[in-house]
Amino acid sequence: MAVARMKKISVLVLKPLAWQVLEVLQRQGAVQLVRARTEDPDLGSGLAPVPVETGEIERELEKARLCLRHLTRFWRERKGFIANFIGARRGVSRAQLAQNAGQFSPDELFAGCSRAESRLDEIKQSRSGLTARRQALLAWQALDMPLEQLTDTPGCRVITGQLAVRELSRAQQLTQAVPVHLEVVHQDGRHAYVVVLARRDSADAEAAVRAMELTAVSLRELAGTPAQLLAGVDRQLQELEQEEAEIAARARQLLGEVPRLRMYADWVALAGQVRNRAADLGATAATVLLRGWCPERQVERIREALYAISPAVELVAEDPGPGDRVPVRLENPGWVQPFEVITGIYGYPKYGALDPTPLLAPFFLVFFGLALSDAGYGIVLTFLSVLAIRKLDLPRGSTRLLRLLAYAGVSTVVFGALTGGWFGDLFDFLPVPALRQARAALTVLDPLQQPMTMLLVSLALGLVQIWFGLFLKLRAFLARGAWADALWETGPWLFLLPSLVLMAAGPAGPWRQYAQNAALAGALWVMAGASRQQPKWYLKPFTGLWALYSITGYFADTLSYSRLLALGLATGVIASAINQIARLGADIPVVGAVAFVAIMLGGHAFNLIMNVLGSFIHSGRLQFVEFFSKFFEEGGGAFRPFREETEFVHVID
Amino acid sequence: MFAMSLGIVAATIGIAMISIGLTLLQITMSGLPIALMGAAFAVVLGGVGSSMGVGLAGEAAAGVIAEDPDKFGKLLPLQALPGTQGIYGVLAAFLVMFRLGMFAGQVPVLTVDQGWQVFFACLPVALTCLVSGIYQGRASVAAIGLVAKRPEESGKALIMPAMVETYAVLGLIATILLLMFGVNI
Repeated sequence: MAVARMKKISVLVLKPLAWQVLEVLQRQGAVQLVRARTEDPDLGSGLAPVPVETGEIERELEKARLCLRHLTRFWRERKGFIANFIGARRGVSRAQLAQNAGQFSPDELFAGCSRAESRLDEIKQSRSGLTARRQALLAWQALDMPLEQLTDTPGCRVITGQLAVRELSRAQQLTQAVPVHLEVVHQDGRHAYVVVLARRDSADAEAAVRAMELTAVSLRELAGTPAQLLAGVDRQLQELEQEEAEIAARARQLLGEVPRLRMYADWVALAGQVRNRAADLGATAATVLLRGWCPERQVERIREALYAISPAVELVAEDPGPGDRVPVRLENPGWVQPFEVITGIYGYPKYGALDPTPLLAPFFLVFFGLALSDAGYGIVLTFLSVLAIRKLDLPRGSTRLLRLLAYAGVSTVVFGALTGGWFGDLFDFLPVPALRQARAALTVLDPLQQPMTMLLVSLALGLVQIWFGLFLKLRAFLARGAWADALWETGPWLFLLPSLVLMAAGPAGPWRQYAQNAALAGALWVMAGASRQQPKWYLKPFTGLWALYSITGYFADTLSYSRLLALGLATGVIASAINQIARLGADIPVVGAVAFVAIMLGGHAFNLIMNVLGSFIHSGRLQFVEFFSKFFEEGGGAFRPFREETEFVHVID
Repeated sequence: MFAMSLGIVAATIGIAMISIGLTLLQITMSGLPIALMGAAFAVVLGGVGSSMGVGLAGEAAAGVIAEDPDKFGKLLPLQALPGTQGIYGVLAAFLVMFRLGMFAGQVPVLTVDQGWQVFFACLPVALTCLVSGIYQGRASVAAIGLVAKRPEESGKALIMPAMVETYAVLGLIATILLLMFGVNI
């Protein structure tokens, strides 16, 4: 339960074996590689780059991807919402992958697929051209004559064009008293499409046409009536559509190849990832050097795996030096691992610092349970999470969120029962008195009846967590040997906060007097601690007072936990409201039962989702903002081992 | 956006002033309509805040999904975040009804003074939900941009907008406590 201890490893191998070593490391997935040639300037300067040829792998990968893109273009893969959210993928053994890659080549498919893809591109382009043409022709549809006849005659000029509708009456006025005829062919909301005939021998006609400011539309090179032309365009569009449907049908017929293509693509991608690591290697005349970080516990496993390749491999493991940026990996027992999700959201602690995961776990569970606070919802949440873990084919590690939700569900059952929430007030109107009695027997505190008590419980939990956070800070100071910091920075607050609580809420009598004195002493201790750094003696009291002012920060932090009351009430009251409305729905004649069931299912599902989201986020926030701020030393970069990264399947050993 | 929320607040105050005027003119008026007005404000202003917040986030999320439909699952929670303000408003209205004994089938009789007590008890949740809903929506929009660029950081993206919600929660707590202990019924 801590940040894993890391070793810096160097692997020296004869050149021809370098790729094999990388493959083994990829499979083991426990080493984060660093660039051997730049990591250590003294050592790296003597190393040469390792040449690598990736062209063929990239071509193969591109082929497989294009085929997949084409074949799945017309296919909507059915994936559950949860499966999609978690990123569930099919598990395939490595042997199967290799076997598939040996028997399968995408070349045959590729020829057809790439032809079809480029044809689809052409179809798309032709279609947009034809659609634009169709749009333009629609305006002239009413013109019932072949367009090639719409040409100038010796005595008359023929102009086709469009103008804004609001300009139309002005244009029509211009034709009066001059030998010009204006025919409106079509009007849509904004434009009028017109044919203008003007005598050539009249200067007035010429001027009038100019004054109309038509936007000329050339129809001259078209042959046939607009209606005929439109029919032609429609026919072409239809043909394109048909062709596309044929391509789609062919693609659908080949859908059976998709699983093999996917396995092939992942297999090639894995080989590509090995080749892409060439940049991390450094070469001497006959050997290759690899360097990286490996968790201490895994070093021996890696050593065995590498020595199994050949005797010509050497691995040296060292402790990290003072200037090293060591990657951080959390190591926790199985039941704590789901909570690493929460730590991961915030970011990792720096190397050598405390891993907060097991420490926040109980707080998170309690807060989540109080925020959701409905035993019925807890049962549903646990059931759904466990179901998803069982049913979805998930790689190890990606079930952590679901396992966390299952734990949170169990906690919700406990706190829901304690606060009397079972799908809101469902038991109150079910005709089973035993349920009501059981609920009453389990209920310790109904937040709707005693909101003040619940508020105090929330704040008390907050104080406990804040105090615990300060305690962890003290421990970190002591572990580092910083006795003065422990004594003057965290010590006084650890003492002052409980004294203040006792003073405000403790039992009356002499105890209150003791608490008051203790609080006063604590305050002086805080002031003394803060002013020890202040060199000017006359400023010391003010520095002390300023430090005391951060009491408001602790106060605000504590109040922040009041959200547990609000979130708990929100679940319960809205759930009860849904029951209320469903009962109203049950009174509808004929469809009453259906309405009741529909409102209950839909309403509670919605309420459950919204409140699980809210409870999760707010319980997390209390860790990050109120708890972590007391002790957490952030800044660790996550450990990202070189491992098998696949897109479509996950590899099983 | 800010002008709009100011406008809504101004309208709220205006309606309240008119109600006060009416009350002063008709001394015999019952307190029930005033109490219900408080409940209605909580629902309406919370709902307006959430509508705007969820709407803003939805526009941004739809844009990202147009590029990458696989992000739907990650973006939906971000869009849903500013939705809670509307729920808090409804919650306050239910608490008013609960406190007035409406679920027990009574028609409560309130003095004008008691009506105003309930009305003002509802204001914290109403106004904080209106404004925090909008601003949480804006933080969600930014978080959606974050997920679009770095999908692996969707956990952090959830936390940023959630910080805004604190003030809606505080408003709700004030309203709950005022309704439970601050109102003299």
